[in-house]
Amino acid sequence: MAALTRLGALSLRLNQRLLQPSVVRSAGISTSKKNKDTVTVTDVITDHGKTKTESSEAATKNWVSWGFDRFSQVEDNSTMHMTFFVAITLCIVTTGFIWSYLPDFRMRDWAQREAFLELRRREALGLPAIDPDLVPLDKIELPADEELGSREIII
Amino acid sequence: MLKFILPLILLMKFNKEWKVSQVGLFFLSFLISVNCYHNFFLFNSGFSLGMDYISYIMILLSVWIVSLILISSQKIKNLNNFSSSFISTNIFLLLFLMLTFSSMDYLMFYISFEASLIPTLILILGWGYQPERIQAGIYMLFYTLAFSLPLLVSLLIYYFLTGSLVISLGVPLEGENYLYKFWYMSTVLAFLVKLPMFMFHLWLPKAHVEAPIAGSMILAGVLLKLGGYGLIRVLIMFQEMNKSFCWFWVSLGIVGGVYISLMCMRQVDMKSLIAYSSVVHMSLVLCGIMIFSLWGLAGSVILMVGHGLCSSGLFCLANMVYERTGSRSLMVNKGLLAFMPSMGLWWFLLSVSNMASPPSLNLMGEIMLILTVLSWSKISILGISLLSFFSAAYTLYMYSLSQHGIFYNSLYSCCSGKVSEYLSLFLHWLPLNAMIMNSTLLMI
Repeated sequence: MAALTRLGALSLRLNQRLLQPSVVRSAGISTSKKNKDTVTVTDVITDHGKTKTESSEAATKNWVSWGFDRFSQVEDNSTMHMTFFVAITLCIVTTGFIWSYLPDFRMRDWAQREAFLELRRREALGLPAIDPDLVPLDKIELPADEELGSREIII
Repeated sequence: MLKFILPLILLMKFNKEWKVSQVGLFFLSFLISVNCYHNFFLFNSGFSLGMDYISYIMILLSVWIVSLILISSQKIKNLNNFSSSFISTNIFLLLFLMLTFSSMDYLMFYISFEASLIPTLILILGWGYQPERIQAGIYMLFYTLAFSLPLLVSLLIYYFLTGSLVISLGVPLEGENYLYKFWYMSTVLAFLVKLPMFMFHLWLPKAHVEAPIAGSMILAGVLLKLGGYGLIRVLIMFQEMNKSFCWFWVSLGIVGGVYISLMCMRQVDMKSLIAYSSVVHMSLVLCGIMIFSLWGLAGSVILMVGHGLCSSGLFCLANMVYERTGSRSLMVNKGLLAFMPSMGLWWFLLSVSNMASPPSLNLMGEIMLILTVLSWSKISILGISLLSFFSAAYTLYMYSLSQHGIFYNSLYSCCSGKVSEYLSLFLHWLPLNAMIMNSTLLMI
């Protein structure tokens, strides 16, 4: 019995929703001034079909500029899109991507690999890491003491 | 190199359309930034122009800053205050800067170095706000010109003696007598005035304060770096003589830096404070270049790039406040967090980058330079520590006085911040804080 009642209520609700009119009359409860003349009820009909022009008019009325053009919304919007595309998408994102994935920039990884290989070779041969005679002593020409005189030596 | 300069010259045709120039300059900086991968130290060469690692990053910085100038100078566009001449002046300036940084010849470098002064003067005189800009323009022009004429003479003597002015073929000069000292001084002083060093810095606060936002951004962002870049190029010739004199420049740099940072604490004008802080940063750069070690040069280049972005961003912020309240004074523009809370984020981020906090490029440059100066002389720790301490002190002073506290009663309300303003600040801040991750692109 209860199930029948519920089914009935459900079907009524469904019926209502399916057959809901696109134009809704909203009857406001506020009345006009109390006087002896006949009261005319004014209904407000809201049309759900056409809201785009209203909202776009409201948008142009209270428009806040992005900052790129003070006067024209279309110009402002298009400049904003172009500037953000070039500055952020191209310059920041794409450039950042390219810079972070550059292969062995300035041969730093190569130099480190070569250094480790050389160190391994030297350790295997028992040599020190850096040769104390890197520059052969006979190639170094120092000026004589008399030539230097009292000149300051800055290293 | 012409693949960047020709599009730039063609962009001058579009000076009547702000949108095209703005987007075009960003696209140019994208083109330059994807040209970074080369395994030889000299690339993009042709027509006696070429790039090596320092000049590449300086050119990229110049184009980036000029693109940001066009976003930040919306007031000139809205009021139609000679906006087409403004765009052409900026593009001319960028052209001369690109020629300066990419020139492989000392004379070409000198000519473009001097030529970049003229559009800057036109920017200051044409779009500045106050009558004092005449004096500011004269100070800037004559300080730079007076010291750069000896530079021209010294370059011509160099050509006469060695037969070539090509930078890569620079022959280190050896000589000890007073004439060589004079030659060294006349060459180096031109760049010390541009940098600016402590005794010759007087043009900088004037020019920065009187310039419009475009002038301030390009001055702080790029033109000061011309001095540092020129020094690096010219000291190839004068390495031996530099060793005798570097104590003088480093001492002037450190002592002058400490003194100027104390002067910063006294400033009431926001732009003046940021201008004096530029002098402090550049004095540290000077120390690094004059010591001429590898870390000194690398640290100075990194600090130059970081400072260019950071100071330019701070000038943008000061200009945004000026456009709203009509005053640059910290006494009027206080408690701004109540008016522009979202802008407070950018004030904070750029202020902490200014005081070299991680993870900004300024931190990396300053660490490298502090280590360089310390390795050169241990006693300099006194000056360096005071320099670092006071740079934090005046930056905190500027941030907390402008943002925190109760606001000035006469201010009513203002726009919190347009998206274009946030974009320009974001584009200042992001390279500053992200490039520390991959700073091999910036090192010499």
